[in-house]
Amino acid sequence: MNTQLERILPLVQKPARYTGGEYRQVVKDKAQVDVRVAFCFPDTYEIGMSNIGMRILYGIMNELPWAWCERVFAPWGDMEDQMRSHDIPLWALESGDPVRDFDLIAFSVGYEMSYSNILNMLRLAGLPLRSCDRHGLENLVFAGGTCMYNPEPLAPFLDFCSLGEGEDLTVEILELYRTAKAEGWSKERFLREIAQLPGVYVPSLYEHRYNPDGTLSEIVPLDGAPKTVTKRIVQNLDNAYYPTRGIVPSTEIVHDRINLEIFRGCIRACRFCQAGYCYRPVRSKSPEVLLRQARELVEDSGMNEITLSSLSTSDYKRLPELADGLLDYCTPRNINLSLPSLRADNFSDELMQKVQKVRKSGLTFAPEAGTQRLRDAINKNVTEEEILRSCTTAFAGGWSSVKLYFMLGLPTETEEDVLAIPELVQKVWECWRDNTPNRARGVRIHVSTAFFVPKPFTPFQWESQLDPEEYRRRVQLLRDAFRRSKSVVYDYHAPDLSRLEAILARGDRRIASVLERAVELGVKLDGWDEYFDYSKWLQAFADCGVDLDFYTTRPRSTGEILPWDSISVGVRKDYLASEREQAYRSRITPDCRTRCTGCGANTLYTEGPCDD
Amino acid sequence: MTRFLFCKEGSAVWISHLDLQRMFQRAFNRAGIAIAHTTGFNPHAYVAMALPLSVGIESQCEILDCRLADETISPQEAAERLNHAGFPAGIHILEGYESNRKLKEIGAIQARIGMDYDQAVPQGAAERIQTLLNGPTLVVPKHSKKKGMVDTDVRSLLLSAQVDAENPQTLTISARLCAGEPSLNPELLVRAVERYLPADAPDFYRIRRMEIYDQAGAVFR
Repeated sequence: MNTQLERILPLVQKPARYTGGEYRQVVKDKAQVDVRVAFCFPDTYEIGMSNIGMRILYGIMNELPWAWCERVFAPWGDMEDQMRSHDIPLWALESGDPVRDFDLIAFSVGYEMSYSNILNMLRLAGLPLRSCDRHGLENLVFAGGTCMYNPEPLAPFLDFCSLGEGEDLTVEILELYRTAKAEGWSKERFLREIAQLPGVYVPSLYEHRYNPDGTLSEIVPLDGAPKTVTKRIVQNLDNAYYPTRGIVPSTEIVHDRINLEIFRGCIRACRFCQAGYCYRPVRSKSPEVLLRQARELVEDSGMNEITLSSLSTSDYKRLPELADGLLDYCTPRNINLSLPSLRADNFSDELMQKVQKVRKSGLTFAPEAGTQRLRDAINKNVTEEEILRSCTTAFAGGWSSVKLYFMLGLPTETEEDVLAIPELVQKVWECWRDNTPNRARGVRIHVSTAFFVPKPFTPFQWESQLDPEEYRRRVQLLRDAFRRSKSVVYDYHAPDLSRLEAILARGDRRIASVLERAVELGVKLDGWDEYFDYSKWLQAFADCGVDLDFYTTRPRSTGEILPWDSISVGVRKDYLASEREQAYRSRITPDCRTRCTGCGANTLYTEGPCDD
Repeated sequence: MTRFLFCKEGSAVWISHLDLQRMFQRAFNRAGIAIAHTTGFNPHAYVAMALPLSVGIESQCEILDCRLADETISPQEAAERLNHAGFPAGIHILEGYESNRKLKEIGAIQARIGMDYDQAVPQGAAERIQTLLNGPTLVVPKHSKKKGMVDTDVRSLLLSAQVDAENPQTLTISARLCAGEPSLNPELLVRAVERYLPADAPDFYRIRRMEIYDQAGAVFR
């Protein structure tokens, strides 16, 4: 550890997150590797170390004997202050070397509100923010993750983007870089060549032209870049790398447990859900492989809690078999097993018994909307009956606390839909009253409402976001409705963050200067209440003369050229448009297991079929 | 009781006591060594660590006591298996052995404080600090459970202190300090220098716990 760092560590909170040295971190001899990657997660250590994607790619890159991938996280504010006052540039945990010494600087981006951290980390590393100001083959900055399906707000800062699942593509990128470095290519040549790799999007090779009204008039690919870049997927998850010998953090992180990914994609087609469309097609791992990996993970890490990870655990086809197998292994070893993301419509009594055997965790349902009409419009195929049936099971089983998640501002939402939320909550309460074995203990119903954010690559990608004032009015309706209830705890998201999220999610390249200005004004760690400063953001928009409403409340037609039109996640645009029409008619679309509705994602899955 | 003597240095000095306990629990699991648990409704593991170390301080003499569920595993074998299963950088078991001596018998520690001066050690600083530490009283702000930070005379808890110039930029204080109940945190000696000899206050210091003693002054194992 360098002495400068040693001197500032006593001055900051949670110093262990800045030192590296954890069990199973990968240390190589930098003189013996050809390519060094600084893998940056634009949030704190505790969040980043909980991210499966980061762990998978860290493992994959370090399997390459000629490459060394190290980790970098966003420092907390106190550490940033110390770094600035002691003139310490951002460093990587494994070697302690400055990020600016690395060949490749990779970001994993899963949340729009971490964009400011990306820029701030580049600043702390002492690197120019804009791609055009970084010359030469060193310090190439690229990014992957769900947010990169619309990378346009970050376009001027990133040299290239890696779209989709990175298991194979990351290796191809590193291989090409290795060749380029050995042969002394220019940065321009490298970007031209890498644009030919399927799944790589090079923003500088696409010219965005605008109409006088501010909408896009044309996107022109340059230098032979493909018109459309399609995301990559892993064909066979059973054979794919999974980090069973990963880092065990020495300090507590957010998800301080073994994370076992059971499948990718989601058979449901909730029309608001970006993950539901972007992670298609549905591919599962087999219980045999999962049980083997669970054993390896437990033995290698020494951790005693496993959580199953997917978009919807109860949709895993062979869940009973997997749950039995895992319980047989976990129970005698006192290992906790938790099954998050269970759906209200298939949360069975049997399954609950199984989970309960090990540990009674919280119970959460996400009906998302109060009326069946609106739930049908958003294709959240869960009925009131199913919710109440699941609640009956849970309350009769002794649960006395339940969380219910809703969204406000969904397309087609009316006052009637909003007021149906307290009605549903009332029924849940009655369900508790009629089924609980212990009425004296009382019940806690946590109701939470989020502000709907339209996302790219969903049927709602053309929708306007509700005006913040109208959102506040709808929140007030609910506050009034819940005021007198002792059993209900109601909390709601403030609209500011969701409004910015909506702008960044569907933003175009003109947002980049706002982002740059906001970071200049000191914006960082937007995902944290302690740091989120809406006024600075508004200042940045004003300084750049960018109208927020253009990106939020403005309705878009399905004919409009969207900033992310050069990118494909496999689901066709006309399919999304037809799903939008279905939403307007409150017509549901069956899940992929019931019937294939031909979204197009299956064409990526040459070794298919989907959901086999 | 199986006792392990281990070191905590390098980046591991920033691991807090609570995190260290969790780290050991996982290390035991990785090594396949089960710890005995109390019976009852809320079983807890028979594990204890002597004299929790402050974050930032290194040590070559940490003690962890535990009762192994499988009594056929010898302490030496357990130590070997734990080291083999692996720890974060800076943690290493030096020795595993059987011991019946109670942790309560611990009475003192030997600590080494290295004080760095970026320019150079001020002329006469070693002598002034030596005189300060040898004086009849040494009043420093000390944390008390009941009253918070209060000025306390800790002179009686400082059993001996030797100040030496290690190099032109570093002074070392080798101190024997009371440990257990009551105890004196070696950092308070630096606080005393900062308070009474501000011109001799170091730019940076690092502390290493060197040895543990029983109440009679013999090395505790």
